[in-house]
Parts: sequence; C-alpha cells; structure tokens
Amino acid sequence: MKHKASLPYLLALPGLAVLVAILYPFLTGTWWSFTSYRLNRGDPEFNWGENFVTLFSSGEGLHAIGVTLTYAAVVVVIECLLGISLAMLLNYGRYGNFFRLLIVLPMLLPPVIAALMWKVMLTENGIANWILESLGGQRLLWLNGQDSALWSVILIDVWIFTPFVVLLAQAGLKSIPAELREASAVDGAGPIRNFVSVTLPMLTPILIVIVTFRGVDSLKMFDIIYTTTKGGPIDATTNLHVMAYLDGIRNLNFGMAMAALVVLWVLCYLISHFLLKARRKEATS
Amino acid sequence: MEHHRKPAALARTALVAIAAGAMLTGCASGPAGGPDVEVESFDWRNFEGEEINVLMSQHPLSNAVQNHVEEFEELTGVDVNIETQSETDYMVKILTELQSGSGSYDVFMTSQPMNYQYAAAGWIEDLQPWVDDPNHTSPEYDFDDFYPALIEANRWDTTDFGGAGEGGLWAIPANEEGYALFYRKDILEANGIAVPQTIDELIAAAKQLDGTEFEGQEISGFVSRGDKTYPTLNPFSTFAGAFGAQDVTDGKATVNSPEGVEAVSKWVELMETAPQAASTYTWYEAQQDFISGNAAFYIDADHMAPDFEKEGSPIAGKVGYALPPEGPEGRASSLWVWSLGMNASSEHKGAAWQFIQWATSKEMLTNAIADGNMNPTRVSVAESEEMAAATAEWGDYNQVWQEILSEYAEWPYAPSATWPEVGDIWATAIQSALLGDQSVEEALDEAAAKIDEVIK
Repeated sequence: MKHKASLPYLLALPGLAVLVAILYPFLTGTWWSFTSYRLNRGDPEFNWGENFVTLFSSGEGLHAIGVTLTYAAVVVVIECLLGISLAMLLNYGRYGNFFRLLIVLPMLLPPVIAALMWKVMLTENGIANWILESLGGQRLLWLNGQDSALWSVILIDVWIFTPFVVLLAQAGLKSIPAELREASAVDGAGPIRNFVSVTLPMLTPILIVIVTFRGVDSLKMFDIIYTTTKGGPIDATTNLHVMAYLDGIRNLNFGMAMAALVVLWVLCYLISHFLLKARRKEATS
Repeated sequence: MEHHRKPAALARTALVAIAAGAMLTGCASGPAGGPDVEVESFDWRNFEGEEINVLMSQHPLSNAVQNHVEEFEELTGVDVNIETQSETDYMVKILTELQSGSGSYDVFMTSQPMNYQYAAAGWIEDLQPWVDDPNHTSPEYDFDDFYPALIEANRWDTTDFGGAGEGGLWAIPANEEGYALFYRKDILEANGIAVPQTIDELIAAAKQLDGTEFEGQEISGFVSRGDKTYPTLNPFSTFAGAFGAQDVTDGKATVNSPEGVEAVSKWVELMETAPQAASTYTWYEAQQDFISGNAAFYIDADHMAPDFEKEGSPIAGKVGYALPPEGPEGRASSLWVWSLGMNASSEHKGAAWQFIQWATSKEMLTNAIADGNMNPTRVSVAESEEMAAATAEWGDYNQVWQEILSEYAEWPYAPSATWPEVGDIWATAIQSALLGDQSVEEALDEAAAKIDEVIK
C-alpha cells in the first residue's frame, strides 16, 4: 500500500530533475538581466530594468533588434519559396532521388565550416568576384561592405538551410493524395490553380512547422554571423545574439548580455506561440 | 552553479585580504607577503609528485613549451598537462574557469588587457612576492634581465583608468611584439623611393604606388588591420603615439582631442591606399594580403618576419624592416606581451611558479627561438648568437625589433577592467571613419561619449 503511494512521486522525480535543470539556469539568466552584473566586478546588483531601458533607447539596441527581425524575416521567406519550389521539382521531376542526395549536402556540413568556406569564396579576390568579373560585372565587397554584409550572411544561411525546408516540404507533398490533384485536374484546374487550391492548403500544416523552426533558428542565428563578420562592418550584422556575446564574453557585462538574450527569448516565444496556435487551429478545422 | 559560487565568493574575499596584505607590505623584497607555500630553500624538486594544468592559446609560444615540457618534468618531478586551444575558444574557456574559482588551471597564457579584466576581479595571482622570495625563485632566474617596458606593461595597481606600471605584477612576459613598418625592397627600388621616415613621407609613397603594376600584378600602396576590435589599435598605435593621442586622460575620454583627430585622419588617409576590404581585416587577412605580394607597405607586429621569410613565401627576401614612421611627437609603438599568469585559486602555486620560471628562463626562451617564439622578452636572449643566427637572412630585422622595443615600445593605454570595451569603441570609430560612414570628428566624438559611458 505504502509502496504504491510513493511510486508516482518516485516516477516523477526524473521529470522534476529535468525541470530544475532547465529552470535554474533560465531563471538565473533572467535575474542577471535585471542586474548590473559584470563578471569581474563582484556580485549582481538589482538595477530596476535599466538594461532593458538602455536596450530599447540606444541606437545599438534598436539596431540589433532590427537586424534580428530583418534577418529572420528575409531568411524564412526566401528559404520557404526556394525550398518548396525545389521540393516540387524533386517530387514531380525526374532524377528526384539523385538530386535529393545532392541537395542535402550543405546540411551535412557544420555551419561554422560552411560559413568559413563562404567567407573564403566571398573575399575580394575570391571565386565569387572572379565569376562576377568574367560575366562582365563589377566586383562586390560582400561580407566586407556595410550595405552588402547582411545580404551576404543571408545568402550563406539560405545555402545551408534551404535543404532542410526541401526535406520537410517533400514529406508534406508526399502526404498529399495523388487522387486530389488528379480530381482537380479532371475538373479542369491548370497547374497554378492546382497549386493554389490543392497543394498549398494541404501543405499548410507542414509549412507552419517549417516557419516555426526556421523562424526561431534564424532569430537566434549566431554561428554564421560570428564566423564571417563578427557582427561587422561596424554593426551591420550585429543581431541580438551576437550583441549578447560581445557584451558578455568580450566585455564581461553579463547584465546587458542577458537583457539582450531575454528580449531574444521573448521574440522566439511569441513566434512559436502564434504559429503553434495557428497549427492547432489548422488541425481542428 | 551553486556549488561553484560559494568557493568563488570565498576565493574573492581571500584575495581581497591577500591583496590588502600585499599593499600594506608594499613590494618589499623578502618572503614577507605572498607565497603561502612554505619551503626551506629553493630546490627544483620541492614539489615533486604534484600535477599542474596549463591552458594556452595556439601560438609559437605554446608550441615551444609543448616541445620542451618533458625537460621540466624531468627536472622537477612535477606532472604537467598542457591544453592548447584556438585563441577564441581559449579566451572563453579561461574566463569561465577563472570565474568559477575552481583552480582547475594553475597556469595560463595572458596579456595586458586580459590581466586588467582578471586582476580587477582578483582571479589572478600577483607574482611580485614570488619573484622576491628566494625560497621559491631560482638564484639563476635573473629577473632584471627582462626588458623593463615589458615588466611595466604587466604591472597595474587595479585603479581604473590609472595606475599603469605600478602595483602588482600579474604575469611574466614570454613573447613580445612591437609594431614596425614593413616595405617591399624591390618595389621601392624599382620606383626610386627611399624608405619613408615620417608619416607624411609614408602616405606620399603609398599614394604614389597605389594602383600601379609591379611584375604584372596590380598592387595597393598599403595594408593593415581595419577590424572593429581593439587589436586594430596595435598597428594604429604607431600613429596615435606619433601625434600624442590618448584613449583616456584623467578619467575622461580623449580620443576626440585634436591630436586624436589628426592621428585617425592620417591613418584613414593611409588606409585609403589599402584594398577596400581592409576595413574589416584582422592581422591574419592583412598578413595574407602582404605575403601574396599585393601591397607595398604594411604596419603590424614585427615578429611576423618568420611568416614573410619562410620557404615558399612569394615575398621571402624582399621585405625590408623599418622603424614606425615619425610624427610631431616622434616615433611610437604599442606592444603586446603574451605572458604566463597564475590562477589565484590554484592549489599548486609552488609548482605553478616553478613552471612559469622554467618557461621564461634564459635557457627555455633561447630554445623557443627555434620554435618561432619571436621576440624574446629577455635582453640576454635578444642579444644572443642564437637569435642572430635565426634571423641572419632577414635583413635588418634583428636590429630593428630590438630598437623598437628598447627605444619606443610601451603600453600606451589607460588600464581598466573595462579596457577591451574602450578599445573596441575606439577601433569601431576608426572603421566607421574609414568606411566614410561618418567624418573623423563625428566618429571620434561619438566614441568619446560612449567611452565616458563605460567609465561612469
């Protein structure tokens, strides 16, 4: 009897341990974001949200938030468009299996290696400029230019992560019964009508998953940016995550770093909250 | 986390106590303050059987130590585990380890800006009492043999934005770099240009050569670092010093002083003869650019010579080494000192100090020349036959670097626990001016305001 009563609690223990392991660092970080904590300057002192005021009132903070949102929005839109198009080509075109193998390759590289590889290709005398010049174009500054750096980093992200979208979108496409498309074709729908009225609605659930994953991942992007530009030139590619790293690890200002990360967390939370809600709605309708 | 925090706090309190003690006794010689490890007299076998952990960054210095560490183990009977990581990883690792107060690394590589961050927090041991203790320091150590400028660069009394060259000695110099002007002898000869002596001569020569062709290759006049982080200030220090520009004076930012504006204006004028991408170059990209023969002039760390002169380098034998160019205040150079420091929470301080002594001894620094650990931090090693032989084919190199170090080089910035942040702000302003984003005055005014925020 007694044994039976304690069993459920015993079984809950591992769960509790995991919960503590997740919550303790998270709450510590959140607490630090409300303090003037410098790693080499004694213990954290509460400063009434001053870090957040600084973040939302300084040029750097707002700029970093802007870069974070721009990066995520552009990356998600391009990768979805490209990924779905490629998935359809692979599904309905020939040699699908061969190209699928080829297309996954970028995903198999660690992002840091891929980013370094691109960094080399995008240097002033690199292969990208060589191709541009031999096509009669002008050399670009790519990662070294203030106006082009963000777009260059986005290009690398698209190269690495579009395959992820392709794989998921393909799975989604496969789950659409062929009869549906055939039926709509019999009803006289052309390929475009077919895509808009059959494929896209059937693809929506998986599309929500894709946008959630890629959205959150690209809001948090660090490795590609840090390996190629360290957030520069000046602060052209400094998003919240890179800013937090520079504040925390380079300047030992953990208060400010954690504030940036808390804002980043809120952004990620909001995005996944609304998208998952949309997904539930989708599932019930 | 919680387990770590308490010892860290304890260690911090203990350190404050030790530091206070050290301050009371001053830097008086003798075994008064400092080492709490009792030994009767100096003996390399005093700590036989102990084990120490060493964290280093990938560098010729760590190669040298790794290649010879068995000799130390034989000499002392102390086991040494050396861990070497890339510079970025090592910076993060050492920071987290020191902060935890765990003492898991006894000895580590460090440099002046890092000393400031660590010393302010009490994470790093003041080595002066160890140097002064004859029971712990070998009679053959010859501390006075180190270049005074290097020892001074490693001293700081932990006063924010003051107290340079005074107070605790936070690390022992093991590698030195000053900043020299490199030029291509062949290009200058072909164009009938004499080696520039002043900043204006250098700018004129770089402009004249920029965009011309040499041996079928289009060259740029100059190249150097332009990245937005404080290491860019190292080559720039030659200009800052030549005009008398300072980062912080009496607790106020002075990067936007008339001298500061003049120095950055001239630097930007010179950097405009560099490839456009140089505005984001770190030392590595700048060095690659120069080695591939793309530039006529280059200002950077003098100890890059081994890379220029090694087999297979397109510019081997073609590089001339000169003093940094002169400005209204004469010639100037900052310096960077890779040093060895001791963890204040180490439980093997006696053995750790023996390791530091050994790694910075005359014998070891002489051996390290063969591993490319340029430049030696001791006068006797700098003037040794080994150094002369190793650099025999590098033109004026051996003479020039010694002249820079003994005549001009000093750490010119105001030490502070937040110095890296100040340095980054200054470097970002230089990049911004170079990219034409802001005028030099605007960029520096903004930087000064930001630096004052940090000082506050």
